[in-house]
Amino acid sequence: MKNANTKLIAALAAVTLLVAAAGLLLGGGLKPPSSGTGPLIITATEGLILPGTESPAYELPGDTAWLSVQAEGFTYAPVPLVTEGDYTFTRPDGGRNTLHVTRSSMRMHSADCSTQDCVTQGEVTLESLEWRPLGGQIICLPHQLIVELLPADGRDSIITLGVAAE
Amino acid sequence: MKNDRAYQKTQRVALMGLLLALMLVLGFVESRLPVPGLPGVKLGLSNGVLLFALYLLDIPSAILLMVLKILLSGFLFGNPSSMMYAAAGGVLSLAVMALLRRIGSLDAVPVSMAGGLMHNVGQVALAMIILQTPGLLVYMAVLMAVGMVTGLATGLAARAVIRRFPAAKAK
Repeated sequence: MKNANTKLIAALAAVTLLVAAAGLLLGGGLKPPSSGTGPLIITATEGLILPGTESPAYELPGDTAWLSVQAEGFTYAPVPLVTEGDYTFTRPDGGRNTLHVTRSSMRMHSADCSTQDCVTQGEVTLESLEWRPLGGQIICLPHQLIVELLPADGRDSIITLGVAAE
Repeated sequence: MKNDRAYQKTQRVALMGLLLALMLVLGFVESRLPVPGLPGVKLGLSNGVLLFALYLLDIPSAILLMVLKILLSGFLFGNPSSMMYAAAGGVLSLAVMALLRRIGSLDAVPVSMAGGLMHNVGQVALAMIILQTPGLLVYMAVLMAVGMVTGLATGLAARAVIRRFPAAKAK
């Protein structure tokens, strides 16, 4: 009967829209930084700030994007992308991801995970934050790694970074 | 001879083998067709075969087909990590399709759409649990829509085959 079928399809569409609305309301799910050292070994090109490190004051141009890293449920304090370079994240079991960043974008350069989805997810720029299905995130599922590009706040500033929560 | 139980059992095994092989081939095809911009999205082509199995056979047979397909395609062209997600999606999708199947007034196509949608819900939900983040909900909604579209396509194919099988009637 046509009636039950239309109802089902309408119900499916409605649930989809509900999930979309919930997602937009909840936002990216950025969590406050976890305390402690975190599970990853992180190295970076000279000049880049390591997530979760204590550091002196930085002068930031207003168009500098920020990077947030979350691994295995541990959230690192976000850091500004002060220059172009690479971050390498190494898991305790040896799984490695290399993220190439510029001051306003990032992309997963390489990874030794089994699916390589993170590498094919492409580049995240401040413009593409809006329309990418994953937003500002690149996710490596096998390595439980989420890196996220956070928008610049538009103000030139001098900031001091500390470890863990503000 | 056709009423011989042994004969029927053998027939059943042969049929399941055929369906499983079909699902594996479709699984291989879709592993070669990644959706650009949407990581981890599989088209779910073998869902149509599973739906057909629900109509022609019974729920336990469909469950067996799904389990075997996940295991075999995981070993053949997948990886251990992707098997988890395929299982999450497959279980949810099959459960929903089996339940909806019991509503006699429902056509195979919307059931397939529901199955395709739930398949992706299962995968993204598992990712959200493992990654411990609620931030994938928008992505889930996008995949739900994609799942409905692929479910529509596979449902149309499955329905065309079901109609030509007199043995597959609405139970």
